[in-house]
Amino acid sequence: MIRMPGIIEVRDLNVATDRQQILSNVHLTIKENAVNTIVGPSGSGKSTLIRTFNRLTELYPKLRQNGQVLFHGKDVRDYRVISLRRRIGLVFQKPNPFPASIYDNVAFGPKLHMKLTRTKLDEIVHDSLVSAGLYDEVKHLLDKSALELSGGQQQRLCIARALAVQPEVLMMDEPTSSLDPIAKGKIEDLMMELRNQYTVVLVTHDMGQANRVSDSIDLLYNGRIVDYDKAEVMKMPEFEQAKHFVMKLAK
Amino acid sequence: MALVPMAIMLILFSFLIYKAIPSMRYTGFSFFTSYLWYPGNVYANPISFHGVMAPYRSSFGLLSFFVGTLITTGFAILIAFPVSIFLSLTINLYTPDRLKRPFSVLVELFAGIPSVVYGLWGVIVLEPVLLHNIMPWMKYVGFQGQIISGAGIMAAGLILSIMIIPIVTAVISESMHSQPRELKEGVYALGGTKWEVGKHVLLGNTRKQIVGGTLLGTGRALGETMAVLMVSGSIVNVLPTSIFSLTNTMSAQIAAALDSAFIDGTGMNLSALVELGLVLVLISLIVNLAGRAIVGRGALRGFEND
Repeated sequence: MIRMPGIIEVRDLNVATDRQQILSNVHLTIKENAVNTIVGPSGSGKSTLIRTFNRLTELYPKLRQNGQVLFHGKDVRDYRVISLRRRIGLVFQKPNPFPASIYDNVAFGPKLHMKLTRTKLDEIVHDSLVSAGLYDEVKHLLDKSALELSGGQQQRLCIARALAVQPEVLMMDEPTSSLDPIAKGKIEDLMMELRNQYTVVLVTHDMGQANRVSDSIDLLYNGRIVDYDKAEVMKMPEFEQAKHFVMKLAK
Repeated sequence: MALVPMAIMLILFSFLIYKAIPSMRYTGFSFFTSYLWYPGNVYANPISFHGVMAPYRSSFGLLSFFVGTLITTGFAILIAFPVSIFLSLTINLYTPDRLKRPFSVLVELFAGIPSVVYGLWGVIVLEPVLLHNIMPWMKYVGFQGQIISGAGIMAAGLILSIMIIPIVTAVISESMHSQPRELKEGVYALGGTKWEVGKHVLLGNTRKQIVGGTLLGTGRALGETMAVLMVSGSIVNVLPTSIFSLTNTMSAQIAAALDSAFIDGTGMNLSALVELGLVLVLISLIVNLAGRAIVGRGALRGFEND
């Protein structure tokens, strides 16, 4: 299979701390307008991997990185970090709304990047909340504190907040792991809708979820991308645990 | 056992009130409205007034000291507040991880320097610099007042600000440090800069602790005695006219006038000083309680008022 170059290309990426190798020789392609899922058990380096895309790993000076991450064919380190992070959004595992009103949460990003009239800002907030499937639930509560929302609503608010700066790629780091099944279902539906407009990168350890929403799935295990088609890889003892993951993937 | 501190507090207050009663009867409400503090002629025959004995022509009013305390403390806060905010942001945003701890410890160590040493520094270094290098220039910016000494409101305010910056910084910096990582990363992930993280997360979410920390600094400045005594000019019966005026504070006056108060056979001078102390305690108590109520107890360890 020949891989078409994607919107994000990871080439031979290694990330390590003084004590521990986190990612080893990772090659990965993120395809445009698709849900690209990275699965793997906890601690396999999934979160670190996607944080190299928007250079959030730079907040941890102890991480040493070599290899390349290309965004539109250009090394992410050659972008201005602010514009890179605007174009590659990230939704965190735990909903992290700012302790402010629902409106201000969504308006936060746009206000950072542009001078906007109130009307334009209202429009962006409206559109983002609609895209995140939250508008109908909160349209009368825009001035209420975001912290009063339920966990699932908070997470969709965080998605709206990320969409408000009009990113090209939306990365989600286990976005449903702290949510109940109904809230989880809503976010999964949302992901599949979002891929029409955005490139979605999903990180999860939930195999069912990966199967439901993904256009492509990569398995990250112990910091390596495992090609789960190859039977011989599965026989290697260090992938004993990975096998368990792959069995579920295959069904 | 929990009652022991309460009992000590009660005994202390009863003593203060008991000792202040003669002064209360002698001065009445004018204690708060008069700015004349005159020990009287302790060698003349004492007079009797409202059933208490007092030195001839003695008069006690706290206004000049109250104003001095208010102005020096206000001045100190005015300087300490922005400096502490700046230091806290610097520690939390722009200091590399391995230097954060040493840097905070260094700031906190300044809180442990005895105040007499600050006073000494004020007298030897700050006062001459103010008198010879700063004040001569003031007439060019429209300052009209008379300049006689480096001591005064300016020196006391500066010294006080240096003394309270560690406390205010420790409280603010600690509350900034405890802001959740997810919020900071949330701002970064939206393309925010360090400054925007500082503005929206570190400053935006810690307003309460900033106010509380400042109140604690205020409490410390109100009660601070030794350093202020050394650099304020210890003037009595005069209200300040400019930022360079000599001044005196409630706490400094108690320390300064105590010695001579014992010469007074009627005990009225001593009683008036106790009443002054009582007022000071009440003001400090209110400010400290307010600060504590806002910040919570945890942030205060090691910074009790002395």
